[in-house]
Amino acid sequence: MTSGLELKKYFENKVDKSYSKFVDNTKLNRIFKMALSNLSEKKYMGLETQKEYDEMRYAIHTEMVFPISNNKISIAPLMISNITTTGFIVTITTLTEHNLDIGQVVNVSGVQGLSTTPNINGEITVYNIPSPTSFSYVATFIGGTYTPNTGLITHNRMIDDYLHLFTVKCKTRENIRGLQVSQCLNRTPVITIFNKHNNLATGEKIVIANHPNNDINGTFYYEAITTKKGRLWMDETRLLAVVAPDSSDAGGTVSREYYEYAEPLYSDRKISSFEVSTPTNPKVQTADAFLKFSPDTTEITIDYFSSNIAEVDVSNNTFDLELVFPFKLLMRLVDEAIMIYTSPSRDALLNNLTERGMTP
Amino acid sequence: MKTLRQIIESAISTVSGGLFIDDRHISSEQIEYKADEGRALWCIDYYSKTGTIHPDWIQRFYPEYDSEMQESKCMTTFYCPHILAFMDGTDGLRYFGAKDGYADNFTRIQSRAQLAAMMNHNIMRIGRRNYVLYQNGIGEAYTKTKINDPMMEGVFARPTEIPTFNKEKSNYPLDPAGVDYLEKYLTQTVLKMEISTPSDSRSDGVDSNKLPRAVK
Repeated sequence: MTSGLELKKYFENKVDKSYSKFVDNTKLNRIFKMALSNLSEKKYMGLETQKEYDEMRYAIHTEMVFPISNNKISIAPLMISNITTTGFIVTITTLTEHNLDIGQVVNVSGVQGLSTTPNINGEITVYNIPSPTSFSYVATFIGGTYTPNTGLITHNRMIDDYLHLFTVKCKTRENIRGLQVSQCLNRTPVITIFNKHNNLATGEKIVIANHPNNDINGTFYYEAITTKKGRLWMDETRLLAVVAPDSSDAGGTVSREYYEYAEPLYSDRKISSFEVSTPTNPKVQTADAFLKFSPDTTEITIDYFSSNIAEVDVSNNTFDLELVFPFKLLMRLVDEAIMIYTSPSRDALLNNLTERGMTP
Repeated sequence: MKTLRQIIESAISTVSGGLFIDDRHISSEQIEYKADEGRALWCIDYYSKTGTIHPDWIQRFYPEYDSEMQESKCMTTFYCPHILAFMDGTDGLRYFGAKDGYADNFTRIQSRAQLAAMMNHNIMRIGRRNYVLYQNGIGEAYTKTKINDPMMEGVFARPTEIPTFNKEKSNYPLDPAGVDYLEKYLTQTVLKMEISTPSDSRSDGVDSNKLPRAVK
């Protein structure tokens, strides 16, 4: 077991005991926090082999699915700048755009001075959205006065522990202009005949909407027979057939659903006419504390590097840090902490010795 | 046979040591255009050496009637995709005519002057067949009766613009030897250059690599 207290002992063993007396627990916690941040950045930059991935196993999140509102997702908790009350309506103003929807449940924490029922420092449901930077909820009791600039908001439609992006896949939809189902043949599965030739291909996910034959409205997997005719399946492996009666009523719309990896879009590249986002080639940019997607995106699957790494408390002797970090990484962390400690104290000898003997 | 996406990813993987990574600076769209150019070069070279058009290059296009596009009662105008031109005056338009029943290949007219001469010729005017004049993406069909479901087959300049072509799933209209040529072409003309040229990756409005500018 390696607790925070144990790490402190390793630190003291490597740094001269009398020398390390100058470091109290508060200062040492701060040093370890800096060391952990530096180390995770270094490991992030050096994520090449399985070893680095193993060491940062709790910081790496893959295949995380998030719904998307307004083609963007918050990547940092929202800071509250002000809270006002009118009758039983509590209006919260955020420092940046909140991108919330009516009815969404958010978690508020750290609000000081104000107390409400339901508790403002807990889960609240968005009742109204007066502006992009404010929203309100209904309270049955309101008391106290809000201390400005206190409180944070998190919710399940934000990535509040986001630090760096690995990859992100976007669910987009392409409406196929003018394409309609003009005829259905009752086979197993149903065969749809379109009003014009198209490039729908086998295995693609298509969405048929507003067709008079309601049995073919929905999201299906397509199996092309010709450029005008194809079968509809319920599943990707084409085992569950869609069943629908014969019909010769034309109508509805047909769109195609894509789930493709997005390419990053940087500001100085927007000038190029080639940098156009399409459903098959979506783009992602980081701005205003959001990941912004184009074209219209309804869901993402993201792999990212998390900022939510366990902090070291050098006075704690119960929590085993080996549960979240491999022992080798903890030893590397001690070395990193010594490097931070020795630099301002201008101890070149200790600095050089640590650098030379640093845990790989 | 490979899809366009597979060809591009294969070329990218080749220059990046077997890995498909996405820290490229050239956009996918730009590489797609370059792929179409490489295909055109291959087809033209192949035709000049063999005098034949490989059947794998041919795509089908179904022109759609648009009443707003019609300017004369004598002809029906269609939007058509651009076609390749080969060395000896032959071009990529292989068929333009009816789709159903017995194929009716409209007689190709090479220029408006030729069309005018034929229309004014006493014998040719009486015994006329269906004619088609194709110029710069527009097809004009001069027919005796209504055209039902016209169809066009040809070697098109941008295969991805054909509405029945699916970039993700359709085989790219190129023969296997041509695919090999195309991957090498992409590697040499786009991807190697990208690797050997440091990119100005910083978004500061300044060319930090100080690449030589064009001399007037």
